[in-house]
Amino acid sequence: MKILIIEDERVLAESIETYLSESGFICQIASTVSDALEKISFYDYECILLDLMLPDGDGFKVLKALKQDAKTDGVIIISAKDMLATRIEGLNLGADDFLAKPFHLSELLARVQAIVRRKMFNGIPVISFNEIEIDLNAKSVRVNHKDIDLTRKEYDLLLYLFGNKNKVLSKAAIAEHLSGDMADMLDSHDFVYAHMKNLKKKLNEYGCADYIKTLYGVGYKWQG
Amino acid sequence: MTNKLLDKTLRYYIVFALLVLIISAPMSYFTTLWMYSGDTRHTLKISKRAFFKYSLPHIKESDIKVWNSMNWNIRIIDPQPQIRHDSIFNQMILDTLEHEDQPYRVLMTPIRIEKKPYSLLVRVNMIESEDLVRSIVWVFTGIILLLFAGLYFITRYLSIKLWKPFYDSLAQIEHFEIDKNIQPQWLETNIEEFSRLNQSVNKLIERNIAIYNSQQEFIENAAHELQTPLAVFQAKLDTLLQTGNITIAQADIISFLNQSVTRLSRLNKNLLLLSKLDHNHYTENELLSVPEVLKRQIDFFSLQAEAKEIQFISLIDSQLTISANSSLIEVLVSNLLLNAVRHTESSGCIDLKMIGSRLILSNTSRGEALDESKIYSRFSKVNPSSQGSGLGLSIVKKIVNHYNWKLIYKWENNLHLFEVVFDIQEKF
Repeated sequence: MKILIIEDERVLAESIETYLSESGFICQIASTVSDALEKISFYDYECILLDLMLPDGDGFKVLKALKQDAKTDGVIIISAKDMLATRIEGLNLGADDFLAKPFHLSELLARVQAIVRRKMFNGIPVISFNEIEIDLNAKSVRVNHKDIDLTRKEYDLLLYLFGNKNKVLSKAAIAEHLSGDMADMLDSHDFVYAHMKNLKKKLNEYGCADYIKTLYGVGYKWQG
Repeated sequence: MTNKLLDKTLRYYIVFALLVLIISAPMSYFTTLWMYSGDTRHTLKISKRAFFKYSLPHIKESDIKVWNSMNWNIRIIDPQPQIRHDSIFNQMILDTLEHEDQPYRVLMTPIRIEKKPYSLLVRVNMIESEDLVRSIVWVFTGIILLLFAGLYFITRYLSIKLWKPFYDSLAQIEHFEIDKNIQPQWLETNIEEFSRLNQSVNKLIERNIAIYNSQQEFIENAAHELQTPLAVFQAKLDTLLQTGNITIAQADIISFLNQSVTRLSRLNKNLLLLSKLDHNHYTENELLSVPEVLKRQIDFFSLQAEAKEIQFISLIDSQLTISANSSLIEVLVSNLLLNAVRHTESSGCIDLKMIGSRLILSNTSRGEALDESKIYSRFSKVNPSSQGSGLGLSIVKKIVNHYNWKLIYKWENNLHLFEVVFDIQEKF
C-alpha cells in the first residue's frame, strides 16, 4: 500500500514515513507542488497526505490536479491552517479528511487506515484478528463469534489500539483521539483509564487474549 | 470648563461691541455738541455781520425801540461797560411763552448808534441740544441691538453652515474604531483649514490601519508558522515513545512535553481567533439552535467534570434560535464550560441553566470574587499555574460584543456566575 507524503518540512515528513512504514505502508515524500504533481502522474497511491503551505505554491493546486484526473479519493490534508474556511475548501475540492497540525502520529495512522480500509474492502468491511472480528459498517465487535456490547467510545478505542498495533500510545494521544475536535480542550486525560479498564474487562469476559498491555506511567500498547 | 469655539468668539465680539458703545456714545455726544456750538457761534457771527452790514448804517437812536419790539433775538440794549469786543456765552433766559428758563447762546458786542455807545445782543435758542442727546441715546441703543443680533445670527450661521464640516469631522474622529474597518467619510469642504485637517487625519488613520493590519497579519502568520515546528515536536515525541525501554520518569517528561505542545497549539488557535474577531472575519451567520449546541458541549464537559469528581447539573428550558456563526457559538460555550471545569475543585459543583434567551453558568468558587476589571483582559490569569491560556474569557467577551449580546459576571453564595444574554432583537 503506497502513500505519498506531500510536506516541505523534511523532519516531519520523515517521522511520518518511519511511523507509517512500520505499520506496513510504503511511503514516498514530495516536498514541493511540482514534485508532488510529477509523482502523482507516474504512480497511484492509496492515500495522499497533503500539506497546504508548500514552498512553490498552494497545496490546493495538487488537489485540483487530482480532481481533474478523478483521483482525489484518499487525500488527507495535514495543515497548520486550521480554519473552517480552509477545511470546507479542502473537502469541497475532494479531500477525504483534514488533520490540523500538530497531530499525534498514531492519530494520523488511524485516519490513513480508515481511508485505506474504505478503498480496499469496499463493501465487506470486516477486520479479523485471531478471535476478534470488527465489523466497520455495523460498528460492532465479535469475540469468538459472540457479539460483545461495547459503548461507542470503547469501540473507537479498540479500533484505535488495534490500528496502532505494536505501538506505544500515550494517554494524551488516546484522549485526543477519543475527543475528536474538542481534543485541545482537555485538561486531564484521566478519563482514558476508565474507558480502558471497561474495554479490557469486557474483552476478558468473552475470553479474548490479553492483547492490550498497560505500560505503567507511559501508556498502552496492542501487542500481537 | 471648556467652551465652544464659537461661543468664545461671540463673547469677544460682544465685549468689544460694548466697549465701542461705552466709548463712542459720550464721544459722539460731545463731538456733536462741540460741532453744534461751533455752528451756533457761526450763526451768531453771521447774524452780527448781517446786522453790521445791512441794518446798523440805517438805524437811528429813535429807531431802537421799534427795532427791539420787532426783533426778539437780535436786540440793541444799553451799553455793557465790561464788554469791549465780541463775547459769546450761555445764558438761561425766561421764555415768556413757555414760562420756563431756556438755554440760550448769546453774543454781545459794543456798537455805536449816532456816536452813542450801545450793545448788540444776538442769541440762539439751544433747546435742540437736549433733543439731540435723546436722539443719540436712541440711535446708539438701536445700533447696539442691531449689532448684537447681527453677531448672534452670524455666529449661528457660521456654526451651522461654515463650521459644519469641522463638527462633522470631529464626530467621526470621536467614533472612529480601528478594528471596525470603516474609513471616515468627510464632508466636502472648500475651506482650506478643514480640508487640511481631514487630509492629515486621513493620513494618520491610514498609517494606523496599515500598522494595525500588519500587526494582525503578523499574529496570523506567526501562529501558523508555529504550528509546523509544533507538529515536528509532537511527531518526534511520538517517535521517542516507540523506542522501547522508556522509564516512568522519562514517560513523565514526555507527557509534560505533550501537554506543552497542546497548550501552545491552543494558544496559537486562540490568538488567531482573537485576531480574526478583531478583523470582523466572522460575518457568515446561520440559524442555530442554542440548546443543541449546548447539549453537544455538555456531553463532553460533563465527562471531564466527572473525571475530576465535580458534580455537573444542567437544565435546558429554551428553544432559542439565533443567527450567528456556528464556530463562534461553540467557542463561546466551550470556553465558558472549560473555565468552569478547570477552575472548580474536586467535589465542587457546576450548574448550567439555559432559560429563554439567558445562559447562566455557575460553579463553586475558591471563596472570593474575581476582579471583573481583569478577567476579560488578555493573558490575565487568576491562577498563574493553571493550564489556561489566559485568553478564554477575553474571547468570550469579544464574541458577546461582536453580536451585541450581554455578558454578566456575579459572585453569589460562593459561586462564580457567568450569564450570557442572547439579545436576539439586534440580529433579526
